[in-house]
Amino acid sequence: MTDEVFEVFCRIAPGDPMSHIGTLNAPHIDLARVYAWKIYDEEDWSDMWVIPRASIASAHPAHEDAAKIESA
Amino acid sequence: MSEDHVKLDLDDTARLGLQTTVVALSDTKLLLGYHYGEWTFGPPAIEAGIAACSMAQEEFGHTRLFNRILKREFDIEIDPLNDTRPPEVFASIAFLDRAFKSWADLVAANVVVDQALSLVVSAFADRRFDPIARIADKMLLEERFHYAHAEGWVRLMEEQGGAPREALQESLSRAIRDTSAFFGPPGHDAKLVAAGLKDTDDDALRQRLLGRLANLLPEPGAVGLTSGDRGWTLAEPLSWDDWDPARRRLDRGGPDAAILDELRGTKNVAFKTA
Repeated sequence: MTDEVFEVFCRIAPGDPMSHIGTLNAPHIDLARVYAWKIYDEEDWSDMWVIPRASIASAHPAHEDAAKIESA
Repeated sequence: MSEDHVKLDLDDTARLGLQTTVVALSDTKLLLGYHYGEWTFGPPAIEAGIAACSMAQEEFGHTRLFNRILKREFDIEIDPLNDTRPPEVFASIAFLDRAFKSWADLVAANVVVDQALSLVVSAFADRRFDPIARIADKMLLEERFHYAHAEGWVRLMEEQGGAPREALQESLSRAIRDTSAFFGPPGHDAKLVAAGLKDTDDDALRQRLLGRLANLLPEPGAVGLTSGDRGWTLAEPLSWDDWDPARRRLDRGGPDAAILDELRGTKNVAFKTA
């Protein structure tokens, strides 16, 4: 099993926008959640998300994913 | 002795049972923290090393909390840096006695030993012994991540199959037997339950642990578990003849002297400040 790259997003106060704070490698989402909490625990976060990078699509027209949308 | 403890009005047996339980929690968490810390370096992923380091810090923090309870409630002083007890009196789970051979040992300790300690703490969480009840919620919240880490690695190594799976099964088999001994013979803690200090006895906690492990593992028989009338139990039952109630273990040995030297800073006595 190979690792995936996960992007980590957090916010300090409820209602604040989520901020991208880093990345990590993990073989699956369950370990990614643990690693995110252990690696990026320097703030008293009210929320933390981990998202597989492969699930993120670019919306910029110059990027490949956006081109696919244009051609659809 | 605190006001809380005077109010409990325990007889000598219950009081001694409570004391030995707290010593065992403190000693085992100290050794568990040592092994987690040791695997800050050399794990199969950088992220896993960071998680192990973080879990070590939390276990050492829990040890300090239990040592504070021992001092306040039982007038017993355990200071890891100035501890002169020989290995043969430590009340730690025997699986932690020696250096871990591989990552499989760490995962087994994580999913079996760590979870067993949390089950014991949870039995005190909303009961009459206030010193543990007060610290239990935060401790168990931290332990949720320890279990998530353990569960994630067990699933991964089972899926990997082959050598990783075989190594895990071998480590789990040893960890499960040593940790089953930690829970003691059925009924040994009946007075603590009768006194309202715990809501579940250790025999039921052991069954709960073995049941959870059996649910997690695709092949429970491969780690020495069998299913029967009382749920999941050890396929080869333990003999309690040599069980030491003061240490909550069957194995008469103790942690390696080299491990205790590291925990005590023996090589660096000249630099101690107190």
